[in-house]
Order: sequence, then structure tokens, then C-alpha cells
Amino acid sequence: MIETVQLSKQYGTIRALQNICLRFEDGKTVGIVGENGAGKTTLFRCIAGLETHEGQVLSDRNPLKNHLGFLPTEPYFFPKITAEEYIRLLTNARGKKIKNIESQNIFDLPLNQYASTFSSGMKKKLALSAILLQGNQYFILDEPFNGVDIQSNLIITEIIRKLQALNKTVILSSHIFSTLSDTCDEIHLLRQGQLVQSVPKHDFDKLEAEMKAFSIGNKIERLELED
Amino acid sequence: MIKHYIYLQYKIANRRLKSYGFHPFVAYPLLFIVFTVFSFLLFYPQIIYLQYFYLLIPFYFSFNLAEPGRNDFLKICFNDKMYKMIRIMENLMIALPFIAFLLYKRCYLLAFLLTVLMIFSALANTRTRFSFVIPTPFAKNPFEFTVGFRNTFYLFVLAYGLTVIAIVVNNFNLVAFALLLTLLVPCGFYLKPENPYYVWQFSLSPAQFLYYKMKTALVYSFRLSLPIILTLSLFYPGNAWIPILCFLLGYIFLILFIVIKYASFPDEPGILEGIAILLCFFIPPLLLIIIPYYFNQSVKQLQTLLP
Repeated sequence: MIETVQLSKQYGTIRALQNICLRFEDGKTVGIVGENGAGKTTLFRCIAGLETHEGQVLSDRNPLKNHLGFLPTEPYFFPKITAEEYIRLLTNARGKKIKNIESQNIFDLPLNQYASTFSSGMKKKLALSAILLQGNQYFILDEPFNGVDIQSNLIITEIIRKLQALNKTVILSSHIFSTLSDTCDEIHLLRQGQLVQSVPKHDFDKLEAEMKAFSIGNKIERLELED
Repeated sequence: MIKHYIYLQYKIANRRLKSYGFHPFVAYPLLFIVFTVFSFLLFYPQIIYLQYFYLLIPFYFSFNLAEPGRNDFLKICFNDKMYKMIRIMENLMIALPFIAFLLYKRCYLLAFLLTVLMIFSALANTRTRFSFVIPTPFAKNPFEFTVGFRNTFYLFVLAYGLTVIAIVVNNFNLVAFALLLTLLVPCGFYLKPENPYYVWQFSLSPAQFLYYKMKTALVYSFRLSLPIILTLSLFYPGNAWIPILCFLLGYIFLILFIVIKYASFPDEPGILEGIAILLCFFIPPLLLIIIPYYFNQSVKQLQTLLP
């Protein structure tokens, strides 16, 4: 379980997060949605402990970060480090020894090539592989489907389902609503750093319709596109 | 257009100095004094071979400018002729104080050599995105030595080559220089802070994390210098204590670089840290005070990421 209590974050005069109270139960997959700049990544970084913040982040496993796999939106890779070395670096950091990386390379990545030369989709798959091999209890996946091919999208969806079956907690964000409705038990909507709505699975369609109406409105008409 | 580019670089440099807490009016004279003292000390006649490092220093700085992403950006902004001019000019500006000092010391050949090499390295664009993976003996615990070795492998080839030459011509000092090279180059592996994400990954306390880094540095720097230590012990058994002493000193400097890196993490070490390193370089007993001080600073600095 992970719980945020009155979680707030301020960058200068900008309030990036305002009193966020959320609870993420074991075995549940929770989606976080919102426009660009709504505070999703900041929320994830605060939960992970990569940002200082006001309020509390509670967990039944402490310190939380040692049991948490965090997939950033744009994973960063050192130049001149191979994919295999990257996986070894991250698994070593958690004291986990991997004997045969090749057999667990489910995305068929070229493990002996420099990771920095990979495409954005391959980078994402590599970073995801590494945090999965760390053997974490909790996962934060910031836009895991971004830039990834269709086949890998299907694999990632199945991975999330498997994690759920293993009683692990998954928190994820995505700009593709269908990927969230396929995997999540609950979705929270963030707007300008505030939690505006929490929606259970049976109301996902309603949420999508509301989001469409709010985001699109009459914006397309304002373009005054002509024949 | 080039004039505007130079002005922009000057402004960036000033902003960086200010971020380190130094007003440019103070920083530039200070840098000039440090550079002059450092140069005179390296050319002090009794410190044999140490002046060869002098040629490596501008190369190290120019290496940072040869970053592929940066060069790609310049190529997009300027045409080919302009791009080459800018790169040559940048490299020569870095080398200029060194060339001036070499001329002052009447080392005309070295000054000429440095000029030609800097122009050549600007045009050669050394850090291309080649995909050939250089094998390293550090696969078990990446990353500083893995990345660092791949960036500077030619210096180790040079050191081992010098060792062979030194044995053939029976020159003990040259082998000692090669050993120093293998010990000091890894210090540079710890100059740039990594993305905080990589520190955050570790399920260790700040002190345990620093000890882990020191242990890895000890094992891997020993691996790099072992061929030269063995050669020295084999061919100069009477002086076997010298390589051991050199290794210990080199390792202590590695520890210094590690603690200094994390003392200002996630920012880059500033001018004060640079001065601390220089002081330790010339007055080694200071290491006994400076290492524990920066160790404590590092522990404090890492507390947020490694609670």
C-alpha cells in the first residue's frame, strides 16, 4: 500500500501539486490522467522521493524507494553503456544478481549495443525491463506506452495484468485512454495540480466522455477550417 | 555571426561562474593565478615527466566540446565552413593559455604540436556516435569505469605502450609516469555528476553508497594499473615499494574525487572544490582533512535521495 497525505509541491510561485490525498492498494492498478503540466510527473517524482515536498508519503514497506520501480517518461541513458550493463547497474543497485539476462530479454533488445543509440521506444522497453528485473513490489510507470510499437504495447499491457495478479501495485499515466481503461481498476484526474475526480472502472466511459467535452469543447471550430 | 556566438559563450561562462558563487571580475584573475601557479609547478625541473600532463589538460577540456549532440546543434545552426571555424576557434581558445605558457618556457615544438593537435581534433570530431562497443573488464559493476574507460581507452593504450618502451630503454621514471597516468585518468571519471535517478536506485544509506563507490574504484583502478605494477616489480624489484606507494596515493585521490563529486550533488563541483583538489595535489597531507570533510558533506547531500 502507498498513501499520499496532503501532498503538495511548489516551484517558486507555481503550485505544481495541491494537497493530494490518494491511496494505492496492493494488487491494484491505478491510472493518473490529466493535461500536460497537470502535475502527473511531479506527483510520481514526489512519491518516489526524487523531489522534496510538503505532506507525507506512507507505505507499508520502508523505505518505499527500495521497493519501487520507477519508469520515467524519458529514461536517461549514459553514453557508452550497453543495454546489458544498464540492466546490471539497476539490478545491482537493489542488490539483485541476474544470472541470465538474455533469457529474460522479452522485448528482444540488442543487449550488447549502446543503450543511448536506441530509439525512444527501445529505450522505454529497456528501462521497463530493468525495473521489472529489480523485483519491486510497487511500480510507477510514467507513460509506458509512449513511442512503443503495437506488439510491445500488447506485451506491456499483459505485464501490467501479470503484476496485478501477483498482488503488486501499479501506478501509471498515459495519454492513450484505452490503455488505461484496459488495465486500471481506478483512474484519478488531475487538473492544475489538484485532484478533481476519482473514477472506478465501471465509470471509465463516462470519464472519457467528460474529458473529451472538457478538452475539446469548441476548440476545433475556433480553427475555422474550410473546404 | 561568429562574434555573436563568442559573446553568447562568454555570457554562458559568466553565468556559470556566478552560479558557483564567484563574480567574473574575481573569478578570472583567480583562474589566471591558479593557472600560472599550476603551470610553474608542473614545469618545476625536479618533477620529471609531470609536464607531459600539461598537454593532456587542454585535450580534456576540448573533449567536452566534442559532444555529438552539441556538434549536431552547431551543424544545424551554421554552415559547414562556419561550423569548422567555430570548432577550431573554441579549441584554440582553450589551448591559448597553455600555448602561451609553453612559448614563455621556450618549448616551441610542444607549443606548435599542441596547436596542430587542437586544430586536428576540432576537425576530426573525435566523439562520433560509432556503434562499436569497446570491451571493458568492468561489466560486473557499471558505470563510472565502464563509461570512463570507453571514453579514454587511448590513454591506457598510451600508458601500456610507454611501459613497454620504458622497459626496452630501461627508463624507470617513464614506467612510473605510465603508472601515474593509469591512476590519475580514472579521477576524471568522477568529475561529472550522474542523473539523480541513478543514485536514487540504490537501496543503500549515503555512507554505504559512498563506501560502495570507493570499493568499486579500488578494485577497478587496481585492475587498470596491475599490468604496470607487475612490470615495475618484475623489472625493478629493488624499487617495488614505489608502485605500491603510487597506487595508494592514486587511490586516495580517487576517493577525494568521489567525495567531492557527491558533496555538491546533483550540481557539478564548483571552483572551491577545484581549488581543494589542487591544494591536495601539491600538499598531500591536506587529504587527511579534506576527504573526511567532503565525505560528511556528501552524506548530507545524499540524504534526500538515499533516506
